Amino acid sequence: MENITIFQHFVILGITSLCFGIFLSIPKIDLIIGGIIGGFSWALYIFLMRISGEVILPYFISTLSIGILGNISSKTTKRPTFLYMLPGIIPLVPGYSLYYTMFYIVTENYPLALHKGIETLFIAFSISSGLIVSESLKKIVNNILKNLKK
Amino acid sequence: MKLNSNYNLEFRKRKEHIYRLALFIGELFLKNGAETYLVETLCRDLCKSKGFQYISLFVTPTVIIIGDDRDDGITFMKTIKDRTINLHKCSLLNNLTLKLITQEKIDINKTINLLKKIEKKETYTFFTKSIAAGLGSATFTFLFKTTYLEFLFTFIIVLISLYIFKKIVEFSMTSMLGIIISTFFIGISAQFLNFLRLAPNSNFIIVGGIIPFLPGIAITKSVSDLVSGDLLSGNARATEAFLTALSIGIGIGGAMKIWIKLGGYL
Repeated sequence: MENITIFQHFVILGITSLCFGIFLSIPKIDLIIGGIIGGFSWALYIFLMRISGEVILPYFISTLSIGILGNISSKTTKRPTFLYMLPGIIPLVPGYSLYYTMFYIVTENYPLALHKGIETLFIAFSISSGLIVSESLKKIVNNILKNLKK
Repeated sequence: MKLNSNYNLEFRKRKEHIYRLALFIGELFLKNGAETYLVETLCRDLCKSKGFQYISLFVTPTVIIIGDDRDDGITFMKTIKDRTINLHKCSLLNNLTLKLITQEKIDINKTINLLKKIEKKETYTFFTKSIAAGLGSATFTFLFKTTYLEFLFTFIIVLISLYIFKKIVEFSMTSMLGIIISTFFIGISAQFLNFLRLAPNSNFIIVGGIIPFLPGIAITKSVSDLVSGDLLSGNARATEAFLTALSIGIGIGGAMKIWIKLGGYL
């Protein structure tokens, strides 16, 4: 994972998000936008992780970027938001940490298992808090736009 | 109270039609895995735009109830047993409902026919979907510098595990058991390939292979329901996400434990 450039990360995760978009039966036109959003948010996560050396805050910011980009594209195309958000979120969910938690539990290395398990839990929390912030931002912006129209 | 006029009967008939329509739309939405708050807002807007102001709606992932506390108090209810995820249908339904809200008059039979057409619509076949999921998981393993042989193995393993998952859900109607057995299969086959010295990075096959089962959608829906104030369905979805993660853990952990007990190495 270390010696892959950020652009390669963008391409690989873009293709992954696009494929999972088909798995969720998203129509063909919206697939491309979902793939680009997924690739971009993962590249952002990798970039922030490399400069800060942390895991949890980059997850929060990249989920927030998924939420904001998804809401912007749903505003422009007048289709529901989940078409653009879900393909990006699926690869972001911490399957890697979940696997290593189970690995350390089975090999009876409990301190490392606890470490990985808490990391998994906190990643899940940071993903949900990123989504919470983006949903709330969407409501605020919607209300402001409504007031401006009146 | 006067109940003698012809107007009352007609009003009641119209009300029944609109409620039935809203119920059907809500049912289709929930069957295809839409967020609960979206269903509630759209159905309420539909009824309000046709002149029924005092409507009460109760929507959770398993049941939808439409009724009101005025007039004669008709109530319609529908329980939903099976839920899949088909976002194309949700998008089509969303567009149709928004169109119905702006329309002045609704032709009920025509709309029901349109809805039935949407219900039968198949965007991609199961085969296409599984191939897409396999390709996605296999591409994800490239992040860990895997070889092309491992790419192929991940693809095939995900295809087989999705087939197993589908069959078990058809027979037993519980997705948890399906997830446990499919992830168990992924774990065992990855360790077996490692044993045959075909895949030195077998743990990355597992990491890629479990992605189609991860609860990303459940987390997203639960958060958007909770933020909109729909606490009941938000909690239900959060529990679903937790149980899914737990069953993935049980599947992989069980596979690894049994592999060790059989005399293999991790």
